[in-house]
Amino acid sequence: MFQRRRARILLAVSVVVVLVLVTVDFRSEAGGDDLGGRLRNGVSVVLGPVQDGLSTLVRPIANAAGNVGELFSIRAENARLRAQLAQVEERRLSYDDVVRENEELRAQLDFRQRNELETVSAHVTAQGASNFEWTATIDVGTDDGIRPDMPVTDGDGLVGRVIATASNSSRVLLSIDPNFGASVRIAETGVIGSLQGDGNEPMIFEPLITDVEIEVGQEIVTSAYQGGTFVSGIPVGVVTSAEVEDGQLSRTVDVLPYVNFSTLDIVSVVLTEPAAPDEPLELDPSPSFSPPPVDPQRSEAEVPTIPPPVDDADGAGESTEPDAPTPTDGQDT
Amino acid sequence: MARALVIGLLLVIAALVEVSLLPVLTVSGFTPDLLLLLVIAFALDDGALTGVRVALPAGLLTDLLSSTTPLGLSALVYLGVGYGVGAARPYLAPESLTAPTLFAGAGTFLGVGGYGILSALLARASASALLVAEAALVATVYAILLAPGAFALTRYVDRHFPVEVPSTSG
Repeated sequence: MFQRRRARILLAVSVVVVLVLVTVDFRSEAGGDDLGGRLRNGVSVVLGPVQDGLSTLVRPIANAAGNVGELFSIRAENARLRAQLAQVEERRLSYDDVVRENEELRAQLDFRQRNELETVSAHVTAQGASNFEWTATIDVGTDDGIRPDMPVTDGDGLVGRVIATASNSSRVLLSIDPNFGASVRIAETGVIGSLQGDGNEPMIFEPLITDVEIEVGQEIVTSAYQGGTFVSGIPVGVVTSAEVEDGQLSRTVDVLPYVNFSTLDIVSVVLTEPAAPDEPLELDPSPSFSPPPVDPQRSEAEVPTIPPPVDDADGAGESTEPDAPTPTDGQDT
Repeated sequence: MARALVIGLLLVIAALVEVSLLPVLTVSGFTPDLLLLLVIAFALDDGALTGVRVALPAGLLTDLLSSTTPLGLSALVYLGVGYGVGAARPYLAPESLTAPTLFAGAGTFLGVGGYGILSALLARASASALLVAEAALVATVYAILLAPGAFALTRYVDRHFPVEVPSTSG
C-alpha cells in the first residue's frame, strides 16, 4: 500500500515535470531558441560515434539477410526488368535525337547548362526512435559544411533534407515523413505542385493547377519554384495513381519514391544552393531580331479580327477602345 | 545505485539497438519499441513504482533520439504505461507467462497508439489514423514475440541487482 502511494506521488511529480518540459520545448522552438534541438544535438555528438560503429558492424549482416530475402523475388523482378529493357530499347532510338535537339535549343536560348552538384557523402548510422517519424542520422555535420535544409540524395533520388546538425552528425527528415514537404514538378510536362510524405504509404503530390492531365508512370522531380529549398531536377519518384474525383477543389496524386528507405546506407548531402527561382527573362534592349515590314493591305485582309462581346442592354459590353476594328471593318476590306 | 546504473546502461543499449540495428530488419517499415517493452517488463516484474522510475528515463531517451515531436512526449506516454501495467501486476498469476505476455502486447498497443495520437495533436503534420493503427498492431506483435526475452532480462537484473525496498507487492 505504501509503495503504491509512493508510485502515485512519483507519477504525479514526473507527469508535471514532463508537461513543463513539453511546454518549454514547444515555446522555445516557436521563439527560435530551440532547447530540444540543442539537447538532441548533444546526444547526437555523444552517441554518434557509437551509432557509427554499430552501423558498420551490423551492415554486412543486414545486407546478407536482405539478400536471402530477395532470392524469392528475383524471378519476378527479372521478368519485370526484361520487359522494361524492351521498352528502353524502343525509346533509345529516339533518345539521341532528343539529346541533339535539346543541345541545339539550349544553345539557341543561351540556356544555363546544369552545373555539377557539390555533394558530401555520408553513411546512415541510425534511424528515428519512433514509429511515427521517418528520420535518419548521418555521420557528417557542421564540420563538413552541412547546414539545415540541405537536400540529401542517394543513387536513386531524393532521400530528404537536413533538419538538425551537430559537429559530427546530422539528422535528416526523410521525404516520406508526414512533416516533409517540397516543391516539385512533373518532369515530362513541367506541371508544378507540392509534395508531402505519408509515412509508409505513397507520397502525395498536389498539382498547383488541378485541371491538368497526369498519367501513371510520369516522373516527379524537385523544383526551385517560388523559393523551393532544393536544387531543381532531383528525381523523387513516379506517379502510381492519378485518379480524378469530381467536385474536388484540390487533386492528390500518389507518388512512389525511387529511394528504398529500408536499405539506406550511403547518401549524399547536396551543398549546392538552389538557383534563384524563376527569374524573369531579361529583355535585350537592342534585339538583333526585327519584325518584317507589314503590308497594310495584306494585313487588313488576312489578319482575323476578334469580334467584340455582344452588347448588353445597358451597353456594358461596349469596347473601351473606340478605334478598335469591328467585324464590319474587316469584311469591307 | 548499482541497479540504477545497470538499468540505465540497459536502456542506452536498447535505444542504440533500436535506432541502429533494428531499422534494417523492419516489417512494413515499423520497428519494435524496445524501450517501452523494457518499461513494461520492469513494471510487471517489480510493480508500479519501478515502472514509473524506469519509464521517465526511457521516455526521455526516446525523446532525445527523436526529431519531430516535442521533448517529453514519449516520457508522458511511457509513464502512463509503466504505472498502469505495474498497478495491474498484483492481479496476474505469479508463475504465468501468458498473462504478462498479453499484458506486454496490450501495453505496447496502448503506448504506441497513444503516442501516435498525441504526436498527431502536437506535431506540425500528423500520421493518419490508419498509420497509427498499423504501427500499433505491428509493434504489439513485436512486443508479444520479444516479451519472454525482456522478462528474462529483467529477472536477471532483479536477481543480481535487487530492489532496495523490501516489499514489492505494488
